[in-house]
Amino acid sequence: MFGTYIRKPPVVLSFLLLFNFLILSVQIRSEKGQTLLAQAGLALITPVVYVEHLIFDTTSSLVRKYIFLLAQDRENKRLIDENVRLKTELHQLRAVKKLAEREYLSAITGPMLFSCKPASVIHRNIRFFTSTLIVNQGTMDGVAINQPVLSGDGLVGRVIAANLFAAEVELLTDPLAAAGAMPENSRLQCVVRGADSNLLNLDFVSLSNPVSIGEMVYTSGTDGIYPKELPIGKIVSITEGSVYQNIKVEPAVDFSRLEEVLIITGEQ
Amino acid sequence: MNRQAVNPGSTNLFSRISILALLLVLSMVLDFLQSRFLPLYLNLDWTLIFVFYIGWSTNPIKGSIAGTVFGIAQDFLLGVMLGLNGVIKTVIGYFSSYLSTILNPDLAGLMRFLLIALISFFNNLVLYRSQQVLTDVYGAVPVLTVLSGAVLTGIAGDLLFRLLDRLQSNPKQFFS
Repeated sequence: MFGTYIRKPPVVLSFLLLFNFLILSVQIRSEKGQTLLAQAGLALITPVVYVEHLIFDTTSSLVRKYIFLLAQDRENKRLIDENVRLKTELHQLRAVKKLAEREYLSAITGPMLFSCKPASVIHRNIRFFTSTLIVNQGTMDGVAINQPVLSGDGLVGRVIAANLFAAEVELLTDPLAAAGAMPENSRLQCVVRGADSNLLNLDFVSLSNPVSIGEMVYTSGTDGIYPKELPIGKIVSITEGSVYQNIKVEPAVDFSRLEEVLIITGEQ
Repeated sequence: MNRQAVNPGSTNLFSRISILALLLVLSMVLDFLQSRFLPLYLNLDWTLIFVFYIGWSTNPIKGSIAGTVFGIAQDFLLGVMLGLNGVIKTVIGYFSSYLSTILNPDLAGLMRFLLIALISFFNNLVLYRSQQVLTDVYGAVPVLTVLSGAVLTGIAGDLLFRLLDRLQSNPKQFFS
């Protein structure tokens, strides 16, 4: 009798919906970071994205390396030159830092240099209600939750989940992402927020504060996650709201083409 | 002895489960490849199409179970809250079965496209709003992305229905 009762479609539907709601209810993200389910999800998907990375990226990398050897050779020479130039600049910067420390200015220059971990993007998950990446560096390499992620062009986002071998990075364009920001000229403290599109929202800029189209926006360092003065993007549109201006910012980073990123694992 | 001979008219359990597992893997692979190669506004929902097909071809119980399994697998893949797609795909799997009894099961191409596009449109809207409510982060709905995703899902759904129908001449009998 019970058997026939539980085979009724509405009963099955109720059970299944209850099951889904139950697993939804235990997933509200805590202040500290990820939930157990998010961690399990990342653990399950890591081998899959590694295989995907192996198939697509390694194959295309092999093709690039071995078929287009001439182009690679030119690129290598250019990179070697650039490396030499960057090393020279680094030496100069270290000399400037030492000088500044001697001049008791280390408090200002100290946080400008970070120890970074390079990582390759092994999976992109950019949809209309979520924007994340998975990179091939995990806790084994010193990656932890809330560490900022950069590319050569600017700020990418932060680590929201990590296991031994991989980490999930929440992009700035994710609707849940936000960062303390300031426009280049006005230095006004405001917040940049993901807007589920290719553009970001710059919030809390009052009507009386002048900002202009084309002005760069940098991190303000007030959120406690992102260091100060990292480029976020440039202002592309401004419209007047009732209290604040509605400002759109075009990210400095082209998230759809990201291949390599840097994870800031600590200060040097 | 040939199992088909013992129970003619229905396919054996192993092959039915294999086909369902294959559909699940196929929908995940298509979703995976899509997030890698297609831009944001081409938001094709393969899982919805497969769940709708299973629900349409079988009964409400099988449709809703397939919806839960496929939906949760999609949530894992997308990295969104587990159960978000699970809930909506369960409902889609359940009601698509009823729809097939109300509407003509051999729906014409245009009607099938419109039906899948409409379901995809509401699926995207509900997903988006649910995500906002659960995370307490609100913003404007990206209507163009939702619309383009619905249209593309409708087109892909119609094409896939034709293909799957060709592979399996009597789905009702196959999944039952």
